[in-house]
Amino acid sequence: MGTVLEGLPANRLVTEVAGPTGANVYDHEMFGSVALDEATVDAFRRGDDAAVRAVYQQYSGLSMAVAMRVLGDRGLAEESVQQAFLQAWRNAGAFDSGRDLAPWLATITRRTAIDIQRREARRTTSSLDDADPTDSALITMPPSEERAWEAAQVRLAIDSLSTDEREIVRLHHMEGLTHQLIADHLGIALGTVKSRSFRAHQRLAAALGHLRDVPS
Amino acid sequence: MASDELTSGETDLLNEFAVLLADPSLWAVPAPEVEHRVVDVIRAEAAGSSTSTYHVYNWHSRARRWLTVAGAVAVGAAAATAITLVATRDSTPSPDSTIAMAGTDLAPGLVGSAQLTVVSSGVRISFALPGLPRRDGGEFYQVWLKNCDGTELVPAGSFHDLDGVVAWAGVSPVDFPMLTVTREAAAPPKDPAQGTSGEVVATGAIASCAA
Repeated sequence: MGTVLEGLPANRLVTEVAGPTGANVYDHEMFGSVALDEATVDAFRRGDDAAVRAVYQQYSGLSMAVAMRVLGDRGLAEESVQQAFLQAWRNAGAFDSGRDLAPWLATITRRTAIDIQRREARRTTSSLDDADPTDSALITMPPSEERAWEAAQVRLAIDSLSTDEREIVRLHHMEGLTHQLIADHLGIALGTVKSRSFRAHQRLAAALGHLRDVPS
Repeated sequence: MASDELTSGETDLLNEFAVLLADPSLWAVPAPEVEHRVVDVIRAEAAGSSTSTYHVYNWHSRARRWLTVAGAVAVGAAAATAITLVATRDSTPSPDSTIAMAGTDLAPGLVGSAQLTVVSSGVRISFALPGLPRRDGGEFYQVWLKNCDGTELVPAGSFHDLDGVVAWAGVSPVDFPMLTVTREAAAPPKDPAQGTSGEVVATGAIASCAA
């Protein structure tokens, strides 16, 4: 799945997920997020406030993206994020501080989110006859690990942009604004928007290239 | 090809993620208090605190479930009869508790919650009261902790609204177990001493005041 971009760091993660027909093995190649240094990870293990904040600030976006992908509810997703970081800390002793925390945190978040989803499903019980046939909860399953990884990767790529670049990408894709409207909205020159947009999208393409299937 | 144009390969690649990039959930950011909770709970566990589990509530879904209960008690004046404490079984507040908040006659039908966490520097109070209209232009809401007989008030912060905000109090909720929210105005001559207006819009009971 994907390719390792030449000259860029890559992290490989192989996960095994039990499925209905047995274990499914996912071999991930992730674009290397800016990993925290080992000293910070070690301090995180000790529960050092500054290190906990550093880890949280680095990866909370990724965790939230995965949680939202599973739960679709902000309040529940925030609960999942909180639980994920707590579980990550509780299990940090088993983690190799030389590795990137991103894939590990994404996995933990997906699991906590699914647990919350199951809890909420048990809590709200009503007859199927009363259910709205268009209610997505009737037919949706938790997103696959592949889909959760994809969201995590895209969010990591977004978070790697500068604040200015990220805002332009957000306005363009999420708000659907043209370059001119973005320039008007931000109060900056159209040329500045175009150049920042170009740089941002070029960096996104570089960051996400490994997610594209490699033709055989 | 101009130097500031993406290659066709780059464009095709980004088009594959167009739907995901347009999805608001991808861009969601946790509320600031989530970071504080993460830091606090890890600190507490690292210190070997007895608070080994941290009660995290989905404020909004729980507020909806409390509607029928709060509807029966959401009338009356500020010195309220104690509202049933949700998260504890005795009159002593636990290190972290979530209590129901209910509106007074000035905010009928208002329901919400407040999550309290006792830390070394005081009591952090995280509110979820989505029904209060925003106040601006020198008008605001003030949070108070109050003793049982209502003779002593401790301010805990002023806000435009009370949904998703965090207040802090430097007193023990054991001594000041009543939580109130008043509507205030900053400009004199209405309130030159900036004390409470007495116009309570919401109340909650951290612990029972029953004798």
